[in-house]
Amino acid sequence: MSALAPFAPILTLSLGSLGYLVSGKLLESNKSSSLFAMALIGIAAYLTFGLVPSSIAIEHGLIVNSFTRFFGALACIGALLSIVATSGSVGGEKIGMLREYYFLMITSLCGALVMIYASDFLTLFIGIEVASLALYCLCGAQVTKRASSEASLKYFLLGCVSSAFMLYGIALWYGATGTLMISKIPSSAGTIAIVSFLFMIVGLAFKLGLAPFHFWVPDVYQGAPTSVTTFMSCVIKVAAFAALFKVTLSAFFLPNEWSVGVLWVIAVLAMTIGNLAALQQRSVKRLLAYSSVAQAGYMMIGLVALQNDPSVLASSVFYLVSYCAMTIGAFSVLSAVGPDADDLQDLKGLVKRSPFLAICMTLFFLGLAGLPPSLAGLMGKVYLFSGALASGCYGLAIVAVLNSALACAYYFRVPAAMLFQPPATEIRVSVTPQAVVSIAVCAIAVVGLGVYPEPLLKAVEAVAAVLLAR
Amino acid sequence: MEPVISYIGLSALLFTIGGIGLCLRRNAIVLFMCVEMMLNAVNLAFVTFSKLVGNLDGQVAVFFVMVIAAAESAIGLAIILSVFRSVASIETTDSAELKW
Repeated sequence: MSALAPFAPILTLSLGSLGYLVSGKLLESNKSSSLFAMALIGIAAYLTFGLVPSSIAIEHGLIVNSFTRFFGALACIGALLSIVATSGSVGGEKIGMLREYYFLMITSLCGALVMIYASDFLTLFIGIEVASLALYCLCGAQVTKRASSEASLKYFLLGCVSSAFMLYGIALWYGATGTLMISKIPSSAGTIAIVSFLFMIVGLAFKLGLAPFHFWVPDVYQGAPTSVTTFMSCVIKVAAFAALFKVTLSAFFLPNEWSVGVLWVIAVLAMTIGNLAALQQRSVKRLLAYSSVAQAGYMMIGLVALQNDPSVLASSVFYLVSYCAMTIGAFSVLSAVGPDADDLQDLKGLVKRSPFLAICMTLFFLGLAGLPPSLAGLMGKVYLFSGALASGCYGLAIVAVLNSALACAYYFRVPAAMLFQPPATEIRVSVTPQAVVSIAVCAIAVVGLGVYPEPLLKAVEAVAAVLLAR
Repeated sequence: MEPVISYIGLSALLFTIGGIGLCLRRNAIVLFMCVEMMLNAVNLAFVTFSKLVGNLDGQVAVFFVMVIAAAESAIGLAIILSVFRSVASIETTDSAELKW
């Protein structure tokens, strides 16, 4: 029994989520069901982080070490913040089935945790599927809205294809090594290992929304209810990055120059395509979606530059944390402005309608652009780019710096519209207290992680050390 | 050794047919069938490799893949139904409200 203790967060979520299915009238209202979800995720967040930092592995299944603790806690906290921020506004989004809505959110988080904890490819795949299947449904939660079901169909079809690719990669890996464990690939594996690597990278790049496999990202981010977008923009990113780190570092450890080349191309494409496409968006949700493609590209720098300077991996994880705070914050503000707030028009003159939201949103956008006073984004970018330079990836560093300069063009548009343009209506935005708390936490994180980064830096270095241990 | 190679070849062929179908067809249910075909190609590869490497891990994996494929079809058909209710068509070209 004690052997199962480290996996308590997964058990809490999976068993707790059953509560929604058997509770009858008890969890029918938005208030009670959202409180139950927050409680469950809160317990899970405590369990991921509060347990002793021992390293335990159940054969053929799950593993616990400081890497899984860090990513598990990050996913749980992200989920908690996004649910707290949006719990007040889901009512306005015309989601017909609130109990099922929270049930699916918790199931999805549970799948994300399984992805993070997985120590063999089959478990990893099951985690991916549990997380994604729940999200396909969540994207279509606004059954009366056409864009919502369309987003869910697109996400479902493309997601299934990416799963099939991932799975074929796993089958090839099994053929090459004779095991499903995520362990170092033997050097005898040969060509089949390279093909397997490519298939898995395609599958994971889909889930991460990295170009050139990003086509679903803008449609799904825009079509899905804002509360769901808030959730997925953080939780799925975190879990998929954990899976990517596992696959590339623990299994393949970049067998040759050639596979670094593949990751280099994906990183450059994601940054450039994401930023270029975001330039011409009027919809804030689409803009943030394309920006997330570009940001994922920045985070790939850690994997590409790793060979010459392993410390850059820690910078990638640091950037992931600050990105999560910024993206949850930005989508939460959008959801607080209104259930259908999407066009730039809706944010015009927000500073007159709700100064708090406008100032926080400005912080988040400046952070995404990498400018002060949102120091977390700035520090993250400085660490990443200087790491890339230090390890001799000059081309990559130049592309990244040019891209972040280009990105300022569209990141400035939203704060400018909020602060300097007249509002379309004078109606004040009423923000629920939960949303205020959650957005304030994100804003404090965005500024605070830059002012006082030492504790986080120490944690991400420990995480990188686990990944790089051979 | 010979039959093993041909099974792998068949699996790769099925996977490719599924992939080509995805590129060419526009009917959501046919697209979904193509994905199912790709998943079955994976199953065939798993079983063949299991025979080849001489342990049962691959055959166990097939059961998991089958269960996941079943869950996928349940959810997929529900999503296609809900799209049909709002668009009155399951051609993916008719669901084009979201673009650029």
